[in-house]
Amino acid sequence: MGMRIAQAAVMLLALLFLAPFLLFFLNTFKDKDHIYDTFHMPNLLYWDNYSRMFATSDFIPSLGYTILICLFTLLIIVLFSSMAGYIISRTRNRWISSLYLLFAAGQIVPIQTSMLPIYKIGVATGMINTAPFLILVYVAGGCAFATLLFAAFTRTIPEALEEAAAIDGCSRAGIFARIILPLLRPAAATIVVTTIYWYWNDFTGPLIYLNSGEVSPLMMTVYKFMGTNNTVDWGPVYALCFMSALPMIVFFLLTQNRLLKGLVVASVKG
Amino acid sequence: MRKKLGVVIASMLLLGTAAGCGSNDKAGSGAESSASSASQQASPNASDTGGEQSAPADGADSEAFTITVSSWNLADEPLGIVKAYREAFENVYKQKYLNATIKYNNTPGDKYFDLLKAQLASASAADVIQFQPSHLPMFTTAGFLADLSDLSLVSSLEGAMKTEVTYQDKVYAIPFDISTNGVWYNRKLFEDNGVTPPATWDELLAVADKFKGMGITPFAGGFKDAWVSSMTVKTFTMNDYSSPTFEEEVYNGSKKLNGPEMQATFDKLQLFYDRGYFGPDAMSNGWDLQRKAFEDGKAAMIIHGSYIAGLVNSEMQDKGGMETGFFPLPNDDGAPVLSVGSDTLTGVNAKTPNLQRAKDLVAAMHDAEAQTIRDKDAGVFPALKGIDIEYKELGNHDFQRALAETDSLLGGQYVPASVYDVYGKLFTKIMAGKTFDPAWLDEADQAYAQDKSLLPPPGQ
Amino acid sequence: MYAGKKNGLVEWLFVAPALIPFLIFVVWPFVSSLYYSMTRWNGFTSPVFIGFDNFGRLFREASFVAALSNTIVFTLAGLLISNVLSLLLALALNRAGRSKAVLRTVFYLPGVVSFVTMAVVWSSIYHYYGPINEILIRLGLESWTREWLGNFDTVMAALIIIMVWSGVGFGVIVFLAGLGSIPADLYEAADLDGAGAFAKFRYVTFPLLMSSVTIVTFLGLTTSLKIFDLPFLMTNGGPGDASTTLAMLIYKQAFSYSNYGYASAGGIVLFVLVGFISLLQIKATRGREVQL
Repeated sequence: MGMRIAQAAVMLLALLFLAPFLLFFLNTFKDKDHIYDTFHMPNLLYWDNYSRMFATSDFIPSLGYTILICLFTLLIIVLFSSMAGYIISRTRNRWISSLYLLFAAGQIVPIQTSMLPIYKIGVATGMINTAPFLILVYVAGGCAFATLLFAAFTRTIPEALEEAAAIDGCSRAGIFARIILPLLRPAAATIVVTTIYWYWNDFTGPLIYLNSGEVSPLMMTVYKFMGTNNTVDWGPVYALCFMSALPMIVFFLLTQNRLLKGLVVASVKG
Repeated sequence: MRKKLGVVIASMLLLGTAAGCGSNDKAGSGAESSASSASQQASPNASDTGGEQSAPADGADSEAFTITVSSWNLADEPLGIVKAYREAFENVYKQKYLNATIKYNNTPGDKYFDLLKAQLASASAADVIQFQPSHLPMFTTAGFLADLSDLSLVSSLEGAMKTEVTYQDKVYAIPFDISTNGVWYNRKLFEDNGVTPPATWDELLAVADKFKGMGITPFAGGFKDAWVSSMTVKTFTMNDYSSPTFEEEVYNGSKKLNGPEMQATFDKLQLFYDRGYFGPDAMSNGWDLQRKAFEDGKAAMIIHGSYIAGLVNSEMQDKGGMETGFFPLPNDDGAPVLSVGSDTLTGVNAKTPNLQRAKDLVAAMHDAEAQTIRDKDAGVFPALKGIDIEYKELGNHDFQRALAETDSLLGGQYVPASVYDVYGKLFTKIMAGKTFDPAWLDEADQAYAQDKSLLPPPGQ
Repeated sequence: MYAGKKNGLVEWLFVAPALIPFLIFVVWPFVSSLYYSMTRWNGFTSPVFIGFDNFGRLFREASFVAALSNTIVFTLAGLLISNVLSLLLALALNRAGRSKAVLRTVFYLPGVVSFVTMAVVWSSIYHYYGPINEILIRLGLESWTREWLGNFDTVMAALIIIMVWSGVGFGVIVFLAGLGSIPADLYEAADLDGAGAFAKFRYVTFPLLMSSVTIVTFLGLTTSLKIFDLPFLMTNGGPGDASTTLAMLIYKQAFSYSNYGYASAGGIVLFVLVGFISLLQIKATRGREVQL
């Protein structure tokens, strides 16, 4: 009996969690006169908002650009921080092992006061308003978090494997590439499926560091579209918002089991 | 991007230390400039000014180069007005520079100004930059802006419009528009109910009560947007300044921002709240829904700037358009004061390698014909004298008349942006149901004391 | 196993790719803000050194004190609700059988969507003419209707609901992972000892979930203490100062008012606060963790 009530409560809560998405989705089909009417049931064959959105926004190029940025960011983060995480969890050098604390402290720096100094670095190096610069800024912040996770994963790998390889004359780099890296694949997948949302959804970064290109990343396109379509007709804005959120929703649905498995390891050994 | 137009107003801290517009005569010169730029009389100079800017083809420069412009309101919008304007001034520019490429960096919203500051601080800003009067003191003292005093456009600047862009006798920007805030009303609603625009405070209350009695919200509210709430307070403050030099007196310490003047303003706002004049959804609405309530006839009036008439008319196009009217927010004795200023200034980055080309682009952007295309349907009023536009909306005619006939001053010239943010914040406290206490204004006084150093000293 | 100078160099080469960008883009800006916090600086002209004046000014200012207390309310409420709610949900889902995967998805979904896009929807939900008030009216509770975000009594609660909505899914997944890693034989042993459901939770489940609690709490702490987007987009900190947070105040001082030195001082205070609370938390929860 108590179990039944609990189940019903969870179901109800789940419906409440979904309600904003439902409203979001339905609003993309409402015409100008009904967009503010919550309980108006729209005609799902009304595609005007979508066609106007596609005609007037840079959705497709922005989508491609964002995918590229996320891809490079995550590849570099995985490579750099798996190397660092491996060494940090194995080293006997006190300086290197204390980097763990430094990276952890990096998690608590507020970004609001860092934006101007970072911008100045971008200008001084001539890299400002280029995608590589934005990626570098992401890598700097992302590596700290990912290194912590890779260090935790590396501890789960028995050192005996490396010792055997070292006796066989394998160099440190060779050991990392042939033995450790393949074993860290689940960790890499965990990094990707937990942090891709940060880069996909970030809009302050592109706003400040990648602002003047022909094409802008997706969230920036959404923001600009909201700004220049600040009329009382929000239909196309809803359509663009929905289309920009959709890829991450689909990605999550496809990767959620991976996410759960990765977190099992991380939470037990973290 | 209209939202930005308003932010301006919310954060105006204008600079004016010009000779020829002494600080003790602000009100007079402001009114004079309003009159001249809003006047209906055709000026023979108009075509001359335009001709001068679009230099003859024999002096043309055929070198290929790229020049950049950064702004918050030069992006395409659904009505296509901005695009047409850009094409018009590009044509003018290309008569002189045959192979010029103009590149736009457009960022909407408050964020544009955050970005612009970072770009200027690191010498990476565009060649031509647009900004707001509140930025001018800081940008000029830091040496970011090129001197534009030798542009022929400068001769079309007068009074407050000139004061606003002058710093130590040099002109550092060209104002694109002249604006003021007041009360816009739904013309049909007023006429159908036999209501005429009120001239005094008591008449205003009577009109508001009448609509309230009919179940119509007297004033549309949109105070979810911070700039709307501080702009609304600012519109009220002008009538309560005890003298045209009130802001200078505050600077010199003989008046205080927590004194009787600002208390009077907040007492009025409290009265509006107590009587429910702003409607029950005033804090839920942003400025889009505020406009919608006005357009739908659910609210009879709306307090905003010059852009309202053109904007609501175009948004209501599919329902046959909408006619509006305009009157200054009345005061007790029927002699209100308007705060007049510009929302958009165009300047040249002092570090540009293309100084002359950038100056010529500023001139092209203020070409009379191009500006007419930009202004006519969007309800923008040119700041340069001699550009004469016949607006189709009746509300805009009211607006021009009000600008010409009402006393005005460069409001906010000696008030830091942070003080207007405090005002807006205090107003939302009233709107959220707290009763105004004069001690609240101490926060404005403190913010003033802390940021006073950002202001130019008046009366130099 | 590895030693010597050569190995030391190799190790530094391994950490360098992650370390160097971190030093340039995280450490250096922070260190320079330490200096700026002791100056009066508008971001353009040369900074003027003024010692600790900015810090004194911070604590004299009413809006800073309000922002500080709002930030703490966000953090405490967020931590409490998301920990308790996500643990309860994880316990329920763990027994939900086939619907487990679907429910897990539903609860995590809000976390994958950008707040830039969802702010529009939430504003319409809390609007005076929005669905909440409409439902209240239909239930005959008209006196309960209000402007949820434009009211001192409800604005924080309304924002905390959104924060929990978008963050609870992460906690659910971490707790589910933690529950999945508890060996079944521990429960069997408890059954043999005749333990009831509550006793099993108290003596088996909960102690073994402490490392999950550490993760959920640490991430919850660092995100809610630095909370910025949510109030910035939904209320701009209003009405009054009722929902202003420290991160928002810092941003405004730096960018809207060009008080860069003062904003940097605020940034340092926030850093110390987050660091101090995180250390306390790690000490408190780590001490209770049980290793298998």
